[in-house]
Amino acid sequence: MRLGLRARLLIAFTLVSVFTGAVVAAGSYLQVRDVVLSSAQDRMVERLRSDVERSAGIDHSPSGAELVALANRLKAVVVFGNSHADGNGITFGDLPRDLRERVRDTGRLMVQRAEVDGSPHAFVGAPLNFGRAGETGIEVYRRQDLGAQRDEIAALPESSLLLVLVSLVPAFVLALLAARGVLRPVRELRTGARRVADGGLDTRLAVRGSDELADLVRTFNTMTAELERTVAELRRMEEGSRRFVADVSHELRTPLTAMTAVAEALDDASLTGDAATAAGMVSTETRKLGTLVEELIEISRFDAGVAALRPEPVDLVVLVTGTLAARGWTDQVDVVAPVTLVSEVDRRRIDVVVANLVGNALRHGARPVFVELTGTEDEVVLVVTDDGPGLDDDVTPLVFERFYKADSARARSEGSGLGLAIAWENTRLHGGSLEAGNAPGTGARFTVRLPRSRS
Amino acid sequence: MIRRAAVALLLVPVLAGCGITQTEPFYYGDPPAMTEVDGVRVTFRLEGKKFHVLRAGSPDRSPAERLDLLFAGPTAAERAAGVFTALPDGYRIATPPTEVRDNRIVVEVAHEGGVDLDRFSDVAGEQIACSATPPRVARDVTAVVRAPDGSERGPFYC
Repeated sequence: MRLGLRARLLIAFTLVSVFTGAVVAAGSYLQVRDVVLSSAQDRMVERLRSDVERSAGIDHSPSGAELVALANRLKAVVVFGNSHADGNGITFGDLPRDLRERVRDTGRLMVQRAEVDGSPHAFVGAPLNFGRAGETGIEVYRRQDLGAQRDEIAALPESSLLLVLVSLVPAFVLALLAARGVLRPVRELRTGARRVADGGLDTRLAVRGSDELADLVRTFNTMTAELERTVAELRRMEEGSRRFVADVSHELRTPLTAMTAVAEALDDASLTGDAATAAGMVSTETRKLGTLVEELIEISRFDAGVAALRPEPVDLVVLVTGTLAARGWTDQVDVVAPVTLVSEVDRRRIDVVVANLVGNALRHGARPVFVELTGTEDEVVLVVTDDGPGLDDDVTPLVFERFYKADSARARSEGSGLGLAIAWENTRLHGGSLEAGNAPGTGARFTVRLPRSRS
Repeated sequence: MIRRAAVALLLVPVLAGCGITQTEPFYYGDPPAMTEVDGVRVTFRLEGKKFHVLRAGSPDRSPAERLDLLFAGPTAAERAAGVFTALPDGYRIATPPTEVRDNRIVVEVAHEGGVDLDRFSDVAGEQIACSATPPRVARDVTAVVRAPDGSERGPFYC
């Protein structure tokens, strides 16, 4: 599952807050517990100390009766040698053996916590000293129930949990604020990047602050500025080269017209021998050059965006048969078409499309060449197929490129190299599409789709 | 994985230290003292260790008086509590008073049937040295036991 930046920030803040709370709670738990226990132990020891110090003692080793009296007076278990007397509700048997041994061995006041019948108790034991005389051999022991302290300590985690939960609220609010601070520039960047992707190269974002995100925004602005400059430069250069081609074509047109007239005159002149051959070559090449210039001018119009569509209702069946007849191809091409198929198209341009596709099929493919016309409610489909070797897969995407030649060895073909490009531009001008491919089992297939309505 | 380890690390000390833990005996200060009462400290034995008891009297009594109390043996109440002496039976101090010189005391002992110093064991010597030591002195007294013929045994330390 992918989480958004906001969710991740919220989770991180919450985790940090819980973690910190838990650490603090654990630390304070241990501290408070120690304070509670040591204050209880302090009270117990101080009480014993003051009771013993205020009490009148005995100045000799106590007999059994004296030991009992002392135990009652001190409200404690009193031990002398192997004799002992119980007092204050605890018995000698309750005392931890460790405590007795340590008190006797060290002669110091000792405390020990131990469980009696499953509930915690603190025990204190001390040898009894009499003033300047020092040791007496008598030991006193007391016990204190720590049930109240246990309950007090047990309540600590609950209050800590409550504190952690309460601290989560400001942590959550802070996380939201932080997330908003981080997310706003990110969101602006996303919007800006989308605008650039849609072609808005003049997009610039406002830079706020001086952090990493501001750096990113600055870089973004630099990038779009550079992109805008480069694209403008490229457009200018392309515009220049197109204009150059258009200008050259126009300039060539006038002398070519004169040359064509001269070539035709030479053709008509009754020349013989080498002169007739030369005249024929001049005439053929001049015509080809004329066609090339005309096609260049046509392409220039498309590039300049000044190619205009003049749609009118046309019977495409009549148009196609007319095109084939005009070029003398009727015998070489089989037309499959309904009786009539009327659609709104630019007569001249569709004539060019059909002529270029069929001419291409006749030149590069093999006969029979088929032209198939079908129509649906939405579109008209014109398919030109030949029986040649078809198109290689790596050639297919390139056939509509200008001056593209599938067979590079054949540097000079009969076509200008612009025919398919012009057909593609004309189809596009109609709002339709032109696709190249291979028909199953036969040669190349070009499919023209033209929308029926001009919307 | 790291997160889980961190939680575990956090929980271990908390869970381990939860509630009231049982402890070994631990030191909590000097023993309480009954300031109004004084007495004389005499050292006997209890369960294989030396054991101090208190007798009525001023703590400033001389070493000879303290040693008299020791040679008299434990009282009935002390014997009832398991207290005994390691001094051999029938011995008494031959020539009181005995004085402490240079932290050293020489105790001349006598016995009806003749003195046998070998009967004074190390723990008996320890009882003599401790009982001869006044309360709250910097150095314990060293004790030597002497027979009437001048032979000695010791030194013994408290």
